[in-house]
Amino acid sequence: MTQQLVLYPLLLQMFLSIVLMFCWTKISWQRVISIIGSLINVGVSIWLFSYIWENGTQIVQAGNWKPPFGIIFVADTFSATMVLLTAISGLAVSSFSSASVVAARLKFGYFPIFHFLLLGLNGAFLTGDIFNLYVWFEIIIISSFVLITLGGEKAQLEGSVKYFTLNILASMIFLTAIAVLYGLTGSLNMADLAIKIAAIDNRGLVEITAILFLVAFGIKAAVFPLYFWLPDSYHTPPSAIAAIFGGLLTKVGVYALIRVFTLIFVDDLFLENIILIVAVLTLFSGALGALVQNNIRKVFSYLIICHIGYMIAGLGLFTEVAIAGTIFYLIHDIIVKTNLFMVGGLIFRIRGTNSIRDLGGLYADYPKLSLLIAIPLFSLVGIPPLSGFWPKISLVIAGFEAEQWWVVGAIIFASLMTLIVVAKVWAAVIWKDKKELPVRLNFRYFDKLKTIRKLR
Amino acid sequence: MITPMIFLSLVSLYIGFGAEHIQQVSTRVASELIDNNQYIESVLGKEQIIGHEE
Amino acid sequence: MEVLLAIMIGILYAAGIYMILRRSLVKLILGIIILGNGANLLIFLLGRVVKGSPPIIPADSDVFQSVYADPVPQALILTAIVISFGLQSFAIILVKRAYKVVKTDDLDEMNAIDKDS
Repeated sequence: MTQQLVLYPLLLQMFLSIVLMFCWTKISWQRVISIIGSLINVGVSIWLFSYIWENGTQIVQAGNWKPPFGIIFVADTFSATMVLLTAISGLAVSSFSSASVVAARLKFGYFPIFHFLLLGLNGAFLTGDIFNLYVWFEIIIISSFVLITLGGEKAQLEGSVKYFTLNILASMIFLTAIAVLYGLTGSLNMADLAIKIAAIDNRGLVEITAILFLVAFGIKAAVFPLYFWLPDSYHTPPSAIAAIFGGLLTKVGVYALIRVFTLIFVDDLFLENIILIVAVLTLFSGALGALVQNNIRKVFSYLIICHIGYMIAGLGLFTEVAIAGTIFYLIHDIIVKTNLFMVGGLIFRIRGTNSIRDLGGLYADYPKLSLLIAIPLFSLVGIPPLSGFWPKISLVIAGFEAEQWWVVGAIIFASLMTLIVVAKVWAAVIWKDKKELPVRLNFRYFDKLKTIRKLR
Repeated sequence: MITPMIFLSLVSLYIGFGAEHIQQVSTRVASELIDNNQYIESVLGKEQIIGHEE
Repeated sequence: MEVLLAIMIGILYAAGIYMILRRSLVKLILGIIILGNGANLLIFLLGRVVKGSPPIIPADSDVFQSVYADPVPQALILTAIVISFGLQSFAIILVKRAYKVVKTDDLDEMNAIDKDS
């Protein structure tokens, strides 16, 4: 029963999406199945997590081929944590989208693709084979392409052209990196690679390969010079989709970076310095970008970039305290970013606009709701009892211990900028007096969906 | 529509106030990640590591 | 053979990246396709192009004695080809759709999303 436990989250998601495909037009069934399935998935993930917590790392070999020859799935505590977080935000987004995504989109297979996306995410977290990781990445991006274009509104299509170009480019670079790595070592199993890479004398070639991986995962994780696709595309799809993208898709890139740079390419001062520089620049550019935007969903998109910087900085410091801070930040960030994009969707639903200039008076109209919105916003800054505070303090301590003062400075600066941005959003959206807005249709995109109208 | 937001807010409040549990998890993950021999051992078995060190 | 392949892969990568940097959407897709082919050939090259027999032990012996060709790169290329085929067909449909809606194939004119903030 527990022998194949590692595979259960994968199989469950695949089963769900196939079942959902059979209910293609019956969207009320789809809603129920998706929510119940996500609940079961949370249960399975908790089971997997507690099993691994008790018994240590579990592996499953496909077809009983002994590693390093077969494809294996490895669940260590890190993977299990990520699978659990995916399940939690998957449940939240599943119930959020059954309430907020309109029926016209659901009729075109929203839920089956959504569960395929979760399948890809779980697979990427659990695999122990680098080529298999590439395949899971492709499953993730092809489902995300469908989700981001579903509806075919003008802004959505423009955003998704940028999104798909950069993501395919990242996949190609990833493939190139795998090719070079295979040429160097003749192996694809990550654990085997770790041994063989450590034995190679030509460190220059190893560093080049590592840089290729850094670029490929950096595009996916939206780090400093490679983040431009993110704020251009994440605010275009419906907020439920933006929530799962903002919460999980960039974090897959971060997961892959952490996995590759703690397992395969280790003990390399050059790489650690590059990662630190990239992290600091990411922190600055994300924070400054968020400051000047006026669309709240764009502000949140830039905040994603800014906070990716924290995790990369922890990876670059590479001490135990720093990595612990990174993992804690990852846990906190997935939950809070998913919640934040849902908040954006809710505000759009109430007011019909995303512009900070036009919004206002939310506290006067909905005081309890404003308190609810306050929790993710202020967790983001890290006001002490809330969740953002603890990982930041770990990172700062690690920076002090490693005597990397500029990293500490950048972390504190980005924290301050986040505070300013959040205070600005709070003051403008919640506290400012309400403006009289022209009456506008809430779902203005759907005038473009002619085919869907005919079906109705 | 508000239910999932309440759910996620509760989770993030738990992460904030129950930080010691999360800290336990992340410290353990970090100790596993820093020492990559653990991962290699559990995947390939012990013999491979010994062979590599020789 | 290896040198020839290496030069060809270099040309494919260069051409692909040049095409991706152009503003036209059709050239963008062509660039992605060329780059994908370059990556597939790179796997093929780095899997060592050697003359070898398939790794099958003959019936009258217990061990394999001559040089064998590595079967893994072929499996990798096959997978990568299938995946990139799917992605490219999606990309072509997306570009066609985007052209119909936005009425331009110039990437620089696709900036409606920047205006509505």
